Formats: sequence, structure tokens, C-alpha cells
Amino acid sequence: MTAQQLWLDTLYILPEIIVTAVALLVFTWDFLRPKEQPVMLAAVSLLGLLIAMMFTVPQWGQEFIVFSKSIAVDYFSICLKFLTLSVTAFVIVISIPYFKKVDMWRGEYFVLLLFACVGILLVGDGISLVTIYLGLELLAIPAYVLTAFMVHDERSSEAAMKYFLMGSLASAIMVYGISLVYGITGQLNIYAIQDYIVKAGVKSDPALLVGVILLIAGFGFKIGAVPFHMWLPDVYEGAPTPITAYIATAAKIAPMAAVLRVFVVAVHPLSGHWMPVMAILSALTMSLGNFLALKQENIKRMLAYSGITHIGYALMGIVAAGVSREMGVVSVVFYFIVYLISNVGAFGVIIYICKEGGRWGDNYNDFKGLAKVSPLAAMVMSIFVMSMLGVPPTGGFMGKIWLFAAAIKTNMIWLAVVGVINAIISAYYYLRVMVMMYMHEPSPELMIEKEGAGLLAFMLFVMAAITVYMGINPGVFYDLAYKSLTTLL
Amino acid sequence: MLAHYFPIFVFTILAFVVGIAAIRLGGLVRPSHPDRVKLSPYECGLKPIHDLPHRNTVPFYLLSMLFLLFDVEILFFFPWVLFFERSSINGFASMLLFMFILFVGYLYAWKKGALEWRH
Repeated sequence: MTAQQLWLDTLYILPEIIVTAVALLVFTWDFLRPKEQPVMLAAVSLLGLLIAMMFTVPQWGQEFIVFSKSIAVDYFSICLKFLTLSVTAFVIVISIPYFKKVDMWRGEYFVLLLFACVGILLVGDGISLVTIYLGLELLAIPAYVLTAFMVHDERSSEAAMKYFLMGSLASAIMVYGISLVYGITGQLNIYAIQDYIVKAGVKSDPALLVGVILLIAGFGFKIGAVPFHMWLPDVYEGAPTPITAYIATAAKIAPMAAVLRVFVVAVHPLSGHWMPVMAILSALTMSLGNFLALKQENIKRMLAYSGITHIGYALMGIVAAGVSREMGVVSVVFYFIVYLISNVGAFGVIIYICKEGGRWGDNYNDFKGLAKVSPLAAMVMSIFVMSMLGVPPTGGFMGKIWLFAAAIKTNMIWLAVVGVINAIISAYYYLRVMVMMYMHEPSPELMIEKEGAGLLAFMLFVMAAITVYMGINPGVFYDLAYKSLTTLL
Repeated sequence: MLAHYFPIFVFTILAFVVGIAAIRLGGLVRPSHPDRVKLSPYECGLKPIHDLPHRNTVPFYLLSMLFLLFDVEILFFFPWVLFFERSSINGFASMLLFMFILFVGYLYAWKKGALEWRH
């Protein structure tokens, strides 16, 4: 690669570079002027994310493979970039009212969020196993620190420790898997691996299969699939609420993208071997997440557990992709977009409502009579909840339909049945939120966060509108998912 | 293929046999007068009689962590130095950028007082 080529290639990862530069700027600013208002740092971070998003726009519609075939800028990665940047921006917005309340502020917060964001962007771009791994680590390390952000809270430290130990173990397992795959195929580029497996006829090479199993275990840890989910409940409970939202949504984009790149492209010729494993993981993940969510009294924890369930649904699409890549990938991508918007939005509503005396209103009982206090907040929350449940006018309905259809058409009928049963069970805890909001009298101490939450309210409204739009006119997003599929393969 | 590993297998067995035999056979000949001090895990040093009066801050771990961080950077410098002539302005600029990012981290550690022994 010539020098000129390297500089040209750099232009294609401008969004990543911009986010890194902004992170460094906020970092320096924070330690040079330690008394700075958090709102200022948040504003700079948001501006940086916006600029990065603007630089992503001209890349749309083109396909480039740069940096010695280790980074691809295509529909798939641009789609992920938009998602990542907007979810990160939203988490920054919900952090402002949160940290005003808990009075636990350190300037490193936004820096770590931005670095984690760069990690996710890199995984979305990466078509080499090494790039994917590096991106996942760049995401994981800030995530460990962010989990421990409530320094004086024991649960927070414990969660971070568990997350760190489990996460490093998962990384080690994943790297071992990558090394075995590399050892057999001699390739790191996912397309080259795929070609090699087909041409060299190593489909039943035991070392390669062990590598694939290790990859499943490693990625399973990262996305929190059962039986690799033990760290999730602690982390979700111990971390500050905005970080819980971040780990449950944005931090799942990266491993999910990696799973798509690795399983749907690189080791797809071995699909006969990994499909049954994935199917069992998917069924377990859906069911266990659901049963744990049923008995939660705290909505934040309920959302976290139901997030596990949604990962299980998404895995169903990966299983389907083992037979028909087209149906599988499109349904996964579409479902994931819907899930991200509704889940992170629901976390936003939790931060939006609060009680007198600075307590957080995140129990079911705290939602009592929200419709009377703020009809709009109740409506927005209902839209997110209905979308996660999969009720028709919302995007979640279309997402579930395509997932189940993909599973049925690829002859995984038992998996689709498990999925439908789980969707019905989940109605209990999702509808309970709506019952609380609409069928009870409000308690006198329920109020709405006014201070510094104007932007949050606006964003919540936009997200609810998108959720409904995805249900009424899913074609736009279906095309998006389809285009990202065509460049992925 | 598996036959190649047979010597290793024999060697492993032999290692166990020799190890156990040395202890057992030695036990038959050597005199044995155990007492409390001899059987304690650490034969020398004093037993602590009470807990430490207060917790000492140990700046070692911070310093060693910083040392590790900036030491790993050397890892990237070596190949760069070896190929400096061939890597042109391109390599030089990349390395400057890398050093700049590290420098920001260094400033951070300095400003936050991580380099001071006393707090």
C-alpha cells in the first residue's frame, strides 16, 4: 500500500476519526477545566456525533473496501453507523437529567461513551476478524469503566468486576476461535475465509469446527445469549440507568453486527453445523429472558431482561440465515432497528418521569396514573411497549412477522412456535405497564422532569413517531435492510 | 499420528512414578521429628498479633499501571524505528499522531495527580 493510498483510505473512516477527535477534545477540556458544567461537555459531544453523522451521509450508496481489505464502507456499515451515532447521542441526552439528579458527576463519562461509540463503529466497518475483535475490545473496556461509574455504590463496583471478568474470558475464547479459524484457512478477511472453506473442502475439519464453536461461545457472551448471560442482570442493575440503556442497546449493535458478518458470511458454508447450536441458544435465550422478566417489579430490570428475549428473537433470524441468507439477514436487521429504538426510548421515558425528593420512578407502581399527569409521556411509553410486544400499528409487529416467517420458511417451525409462545407470555409484563399508566389514579408525588429535559422530550417524540412509521410503512426500512444485505454478501 | 505421542505418555507416567517413589522411599530412611514451628506454612517471620492499625495508600499499583501503559508503547516504536527510512513521511506522521494521543493520556495522568507519591 502506497503512502497516498493510506491517506485516501483514511478519508473513508472520517466518522470514526471525528468521534475520536471529539473524545480527545472533551477529555482535554475536562482535565484542564475541572469545574466545567456537564451540559457544555455534553453539547460538544453531541455536536461531534452530529458532525460525524453528516460525514457519513456522502458515503451513502457507495461501496468501498479499504485498508488492505480489512474495512468495508457499504450500506450495512453506514446503516449501523447511523444507528450507533444516534443511539449514543440519545444516551448522552438522557444522561444530563440523570446526573443532575444523582449528583455523581465526572467529566470522563462522555469521553468513555464516545470511545465506546468508536468501537461500535469499527465493528460495523470491520470485514477482517482482527478489526472486528479490536472494535469489540474498544467497546468493552469503556463499558467496564462506565458500569463502575457510581464509585461509592457497591453494586456498581461488583457489577463492573463481574462484567470485566466475564468479558475478558469471552474475549479470550473469541480470540482462540479466531486463531483456529485463521490457522485452518490462513485468512482473516471474512469473504476470503468463506471462499477458502468452499474451495478447499475443509467443511468437516475438526479444528475449524472447534473454532466455530468457540466463536459462538465468545459472541454469545457478548450479546448475552443464554447460557452465557450470567453477567447481564448484575450489570443492568448496578450500572447507572443511562449506561444500562447503552449496554442493552448500542453495545449490542457491535456483537450483533459481528455475528452477522462472521456467521452469515465467513463460516456460512458450515451452517449445517452451527445452525442447531444457534437454534437452541435462540430458544433458551427467548424463554429464560421472558421468565425472568415476568417477576420483576422494577421496570428498568424488566426492560433489561426483556432485552435478553429480544436478542433471542434476533438469533432466530441468524438461524434462518443459515438456510436462506436473504430472509434471515433482512429480518434480523429490521428487527434490530425496531428493538433499539423502542428499548432505548422506554429507558428515556423512565428518566423523564421522576418523583419528589430526587427518587427515581422506575417501579411499576411509580407509573400509576401517568396518563393523567402527562398524557403525552404515557402515549409515547405505550407506543414503545406495544412495539416491543409486537402489536400491529408499530414496527415491532412487522419485525416479528418477518422473523417468524423466516423461521417457518427455513423449516425451523419448532423455533417459530417457541417464539410465538414467548411473544404471548411477554404480553403480561408489557401490558402491565399500560395498565398502571391508564387504569390507576396518579400518586401525588409523581411528576415530570422539566429541567433540562426539553431535548429529551423532543427526541422521545421523534422516536415514537419513527416506531409507528415503521409499522405503517415498513417498506422504507425493509429496503434499507435489503440493501445492507446485498452489500453484506 | 497418535503413535508419535506414545513416548510423551510414557514420560508422563514415569514422572509420576519417580516423584511418588522419591517421597515414599525417602520417608522410610529419613528421621522424622515434626513440631509446631516446622509444620507451619512459613517457617520464618513473625506471626501478626493484631490487624493493621490503618490502611496505607499504595501508589505502587498506579505507578506500575502507568509504567505498563507507556512501556507497551515501546512495542510499537521498535518496528517503526527499524523501518524508519522506508516508511517515509507517512510513517512519521502516523507515529506522531500515535504519540499525540498517548501524550494526552500522559497529561491526564499528570493533571489528576497520578504521578505524585503523596496525596
